[in-house]
Amino acid sequence: MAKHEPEFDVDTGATYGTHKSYTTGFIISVVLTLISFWLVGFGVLPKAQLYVVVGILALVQLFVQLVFFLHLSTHSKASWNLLSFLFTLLMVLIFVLGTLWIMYHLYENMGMNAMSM
Amino acid sequence: MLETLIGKLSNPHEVFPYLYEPISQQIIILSMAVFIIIGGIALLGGITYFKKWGYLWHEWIVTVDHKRIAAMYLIVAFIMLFRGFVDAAMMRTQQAMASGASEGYLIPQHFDQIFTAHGVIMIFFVAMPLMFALFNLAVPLQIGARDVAFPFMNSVSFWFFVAGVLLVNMSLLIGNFAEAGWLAYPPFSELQYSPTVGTDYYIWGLQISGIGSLLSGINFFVTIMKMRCPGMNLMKMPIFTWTVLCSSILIMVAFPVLTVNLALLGLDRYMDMHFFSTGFGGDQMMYVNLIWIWGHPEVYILVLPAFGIYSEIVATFSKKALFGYTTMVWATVAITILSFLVWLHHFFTMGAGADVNAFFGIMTMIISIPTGVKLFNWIFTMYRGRITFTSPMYWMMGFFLTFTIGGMTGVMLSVPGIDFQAHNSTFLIAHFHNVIIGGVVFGYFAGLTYWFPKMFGFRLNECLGKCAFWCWIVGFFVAFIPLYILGGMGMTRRLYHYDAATGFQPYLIVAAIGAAIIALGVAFQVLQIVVSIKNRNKEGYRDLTGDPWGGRTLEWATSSPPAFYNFAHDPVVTCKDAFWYDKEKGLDVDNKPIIRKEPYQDIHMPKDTAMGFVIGVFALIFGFAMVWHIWWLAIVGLVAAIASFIVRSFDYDIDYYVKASVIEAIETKHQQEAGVRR
Repeated sequence: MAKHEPEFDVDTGATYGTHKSYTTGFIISVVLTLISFWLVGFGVLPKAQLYVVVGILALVQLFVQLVFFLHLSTHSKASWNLLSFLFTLLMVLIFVLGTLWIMYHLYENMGMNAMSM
Repeated sequence: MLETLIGKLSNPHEVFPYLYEPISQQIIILSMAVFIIIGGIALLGGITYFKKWGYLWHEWIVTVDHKRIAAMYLIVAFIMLFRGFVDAAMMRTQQAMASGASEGYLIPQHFDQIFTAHGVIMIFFVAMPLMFALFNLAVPLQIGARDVAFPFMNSVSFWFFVAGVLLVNMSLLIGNFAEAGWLAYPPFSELQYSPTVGTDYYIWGLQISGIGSLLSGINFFVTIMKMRCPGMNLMKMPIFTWTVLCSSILIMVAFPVLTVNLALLGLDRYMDMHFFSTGFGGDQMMYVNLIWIWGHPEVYILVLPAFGIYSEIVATFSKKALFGYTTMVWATVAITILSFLVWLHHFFTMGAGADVNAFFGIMTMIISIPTGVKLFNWIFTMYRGRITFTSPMYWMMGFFLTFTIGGMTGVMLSVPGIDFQAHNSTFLIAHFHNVIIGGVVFGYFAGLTYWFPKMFGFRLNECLGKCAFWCWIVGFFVAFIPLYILGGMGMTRRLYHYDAATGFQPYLIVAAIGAAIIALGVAFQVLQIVVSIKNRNKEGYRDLTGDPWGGRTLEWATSSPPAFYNFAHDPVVTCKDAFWYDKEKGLDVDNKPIIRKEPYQDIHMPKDTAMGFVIGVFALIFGFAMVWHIWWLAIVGLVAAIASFIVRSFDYDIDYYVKASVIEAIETKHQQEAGVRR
């Protein structure tokens, strides 16, 4: 029966999740998490590379969850959904990067060591 | 034992600090107490005597009607405006007196509480509720909706706001208020330096009302996105609605930062953490950074709707479509984004390097460009228009002058080198009063005069309104130009006492006279309201047409005051200012010829509910208990508030249909009253 219903909300264009999409998202998330644990737990990579790889895995998982659980899509009717997400992302980036920049600059100028704070 | 039961209330030094103060201070407190008690008795006694409790409950407290919520916001905001203004007058008097040998009439901690309360009240409990009053009043009508998207949430927002108001006012007689300035910078606001409950009143008053503001922001965003009438796409919306949309976006992004920041300060004070104290790796500059990430957008949250009001007024009273609608929209959007990129200009002197200061200085200069675009748009709208000089137009033209001066001193301050000189001086004080009074306050007064007939069905007295305007604008310049000069002379803000040799006193006396002239303006406004209410049924006051100014937007298409369902037929819009062109073509709101009668249809409406009020009461109990460390009561209040939310979510009986026959009766009665109109 389920496949006869529209896959997205007619008003907003937001996609409904299906069993399949939720399961797919869940499995991909679990696999990505396990890889990260494996990398850290077994010390497979040297420190610098480890940080980069785990960071990338986290970003990939963020993307997976956005698509499969929060139903972000580029479907034309859902573009407001994507737009508002990108706006939020921009704002968070401005706040976080701006704050980091400001505070590191402050510590450097005031002769404080940021790492020990 | 007693302390477990009633927390800090068991300590008389905390509850009645003024009992241990000099007699001169006790007289001030006593006269205030008498004023509050007599006023309270008169109010409650009056309601009881005229048997209005039932009316108050059924028609107002439980209402979810956006127009009534607007009226309630308005009333509370004006009560708080009175209090905030008294604070201002007390400060001006103290500073005018406290030169050389004279210490003035206040003790330092009272002066500190007064300037803190003045800032907090004027921004959070006057400007914000006036803004929400205007949102509630105009937005659903302008977009042709029956109510906001979440009527119950609207009621919750209002009662959260009232809980915050009550907490701040309780501090007058129970305990004291914060002394740390309107943004409560640590380390002074930390427990170590502010051990009294004042800062806790501040934290919980703002937290509770701040959540209300956040909910309102979400509410209006969704209302504008989802509830517009058929045909009204985004680029056909009235400019005021556009500015409300952008202001709501700012609220949704900025207010969570305030909530988190105050929560962290609360953790410092309650759980002995060290987010903002210097020990254990805390940093007070992080608080300053976070509070301005909220604080700068807050300025634009307040001023964008004022810009929207000016846009409506200038078009209506120039009898011309707004010049440059599209640029106006994009200027608003540009300000929305840019307002998140300038926050550091509030603390250039913190000690970050030249790169940081230069970036934020330049961004600050850039943000004045879209604002300038708007100003030219308004001027070009007036150019070759057929202007009627009503009092809203007076406020608007006063705004042009005042705001331009304030904007230019703002651009001066955006140069870090100048800011290092003027930081925390009265030059800054003069600057932000220049933009907030000239921009926000004048705008809201203009909007209230403009929409007053829509709200209550009669116009305000024009003559008294113009008297009020002249007093305000003259008083404003007399009060604040001296502060610019004093800032140049090196006077710092929040100064309790100064040496006679500084030569500050003459200027401060002039500033105090300016405040008195503004007080006269306020008196004219009160008189204006009284006179207008008295004459409300007379010719020239009563608005039977629903369109007293010859308006252009949909709110003027319905009766004044509108029936609770706003529009008998769903409006249909084909262009910008659709109502104006429909009037010219002899069509009515739903784009049909006026003579053609359509049958009325049932209208789907939300039911009134007491739950918003109940949740507000529990929030108040929670806030009060947290302030006084009554832990068991705080738990009760919090759990009860959340439980009420859950109970309400399982209530499915929240709406009903107004029968077509009822609508027909109301509409026929209105048409008979309006008489010759149709």
